Amino acid sequence: MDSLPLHLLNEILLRADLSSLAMMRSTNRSLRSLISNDPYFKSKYFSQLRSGLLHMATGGSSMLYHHSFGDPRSPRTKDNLMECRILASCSGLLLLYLNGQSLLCVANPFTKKFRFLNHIPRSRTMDSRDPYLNRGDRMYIGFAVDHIDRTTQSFKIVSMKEEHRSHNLWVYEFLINTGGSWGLPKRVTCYPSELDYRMKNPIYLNGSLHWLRKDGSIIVFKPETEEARLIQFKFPEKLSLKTLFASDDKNLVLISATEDVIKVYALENSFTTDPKWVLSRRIRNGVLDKNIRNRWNVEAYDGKYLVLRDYSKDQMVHGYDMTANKWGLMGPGRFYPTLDFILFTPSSSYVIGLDQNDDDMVLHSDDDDKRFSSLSSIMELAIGGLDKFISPEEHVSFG
Amino acid sequence: MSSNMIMLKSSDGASFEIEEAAARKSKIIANMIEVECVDEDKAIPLQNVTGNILALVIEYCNKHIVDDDDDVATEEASEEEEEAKKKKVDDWEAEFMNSMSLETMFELLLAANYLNIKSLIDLVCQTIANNIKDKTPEEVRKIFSIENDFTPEEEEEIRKENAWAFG
Repeated sequence: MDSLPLHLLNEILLRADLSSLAMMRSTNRSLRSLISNDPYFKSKYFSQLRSGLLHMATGGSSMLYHHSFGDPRSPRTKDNLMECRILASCSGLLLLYLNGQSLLCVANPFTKKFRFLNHIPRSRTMDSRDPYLNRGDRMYIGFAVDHIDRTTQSFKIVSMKEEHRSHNLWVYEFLINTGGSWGLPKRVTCYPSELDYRMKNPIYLNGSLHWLRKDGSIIVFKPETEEARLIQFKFPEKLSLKTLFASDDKNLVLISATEDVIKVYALENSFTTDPKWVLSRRIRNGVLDKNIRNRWNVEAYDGKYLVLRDYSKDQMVHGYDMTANKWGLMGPGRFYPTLDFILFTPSSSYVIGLDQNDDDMVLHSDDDDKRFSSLSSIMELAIGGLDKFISPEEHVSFG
Repeated sequence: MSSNMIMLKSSDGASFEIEEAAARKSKIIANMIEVECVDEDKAIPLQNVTGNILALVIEYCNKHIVDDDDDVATEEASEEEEEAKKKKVDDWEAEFMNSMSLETMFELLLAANYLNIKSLIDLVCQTIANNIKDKTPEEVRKIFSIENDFTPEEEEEIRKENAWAFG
């Protein structure tokens, strides 16, 4: 075959799924540059892309699930991984934790770049022997990803610790890691109030990480300047117990859900002296079975999608498309009551510090081998590869 | 037949008769008809399209001209009917594409591009995109005649990225 005109090749690539596109990057220089660097192609391809939803057992698992919006074959799954957790997702990157190895890993599943960080401060290891962190340790890990320009990103990991100095004085301590080792601790002193468990993990927005507390106040930490502060807020009235602290592109968001209606509150005027929660959207719920008796929850929200899970016997995951204003079934979840749900939107950006694994790539033991193959499977699954649930006859074969 | 028939001539000299309405699926031919370049007794020569590919293009156009007529006639159709009809077209397209080799798909794509038939370009591109799923970079290079122009250093970097992905 003679080579195809570039615009036709573009048309094909725009219709290829993510894992195919990731593979196409490995065929040739101009394709690699087109897919990774061409702003026109990137914005066109990634704007039509739907988020994926990853979930695995809180506390770690060797089994990971991936749901795609609008794909009836969901979820895809991969087992026999090294036991791990997904702590956070931000701007196309995943932050993983490998249980038993005390290793953090930052990965871009699309470009297949990753970096292991093995310097977790001893007192903060997310080890099951540490009951304090085991309870909900995702709450204490912040993941901040910034765009330096249109094709380059940088990341910072912030480990937060709560210290009760006295009954009326609590100290929050922050450590930052930008890919090497952990920096010196920064502290802020506050009056006591526990972190709100309706926050799955701190929210990174406009250059700052946000932690929600039970009294409605929010701890704000800016990794760039290493400054922390506390902002007082009043919760909206009649907030449901099924509430999620999240964000869309612009605002911090509280999702308050009942079996009939889901209210989306956005934090407006957050940079002024009068920030407040404003009801920005009401969504009719009604997708849950009437007999489910409270066994459901709001699991994730990113401004484009809202995810509910039913953990009664049906174990269904429901997704609401905020743009199309409709509910869709995302396939069965797991019976497990405690699962981490992570909304993931891939990015093809170059990430500073993710391609320096030369020394680490040498395999020393079976453990290393398993670690890399697990990571590789997770990355492939996160971009919708590993079609475990698709039967062979559904593939169109080459003639 | 009620509508006008026009003649198309492939690069290898084969002639095809096609309804004008079907031929108008091609923006190029539609333009020719508009500016009256078409002589009723003379076939339109298509220098970049061979007879076997042109036959496929015509099969596609004929199929879709019928569907377009249906759309006009049944504007009031219920959602289910719309869906059933869409499924019928999808099934036909899947069958149509399934019957050809990848080589033919590429030729058909180039012809659709030359004749400017947007919906056929979309269909063939989507089918090719589906077909590169689960292929290795080596297989795809062969399929697309892509030259591997990576330096040894870049090759090494890519080998690392893909160490487990394509194992």
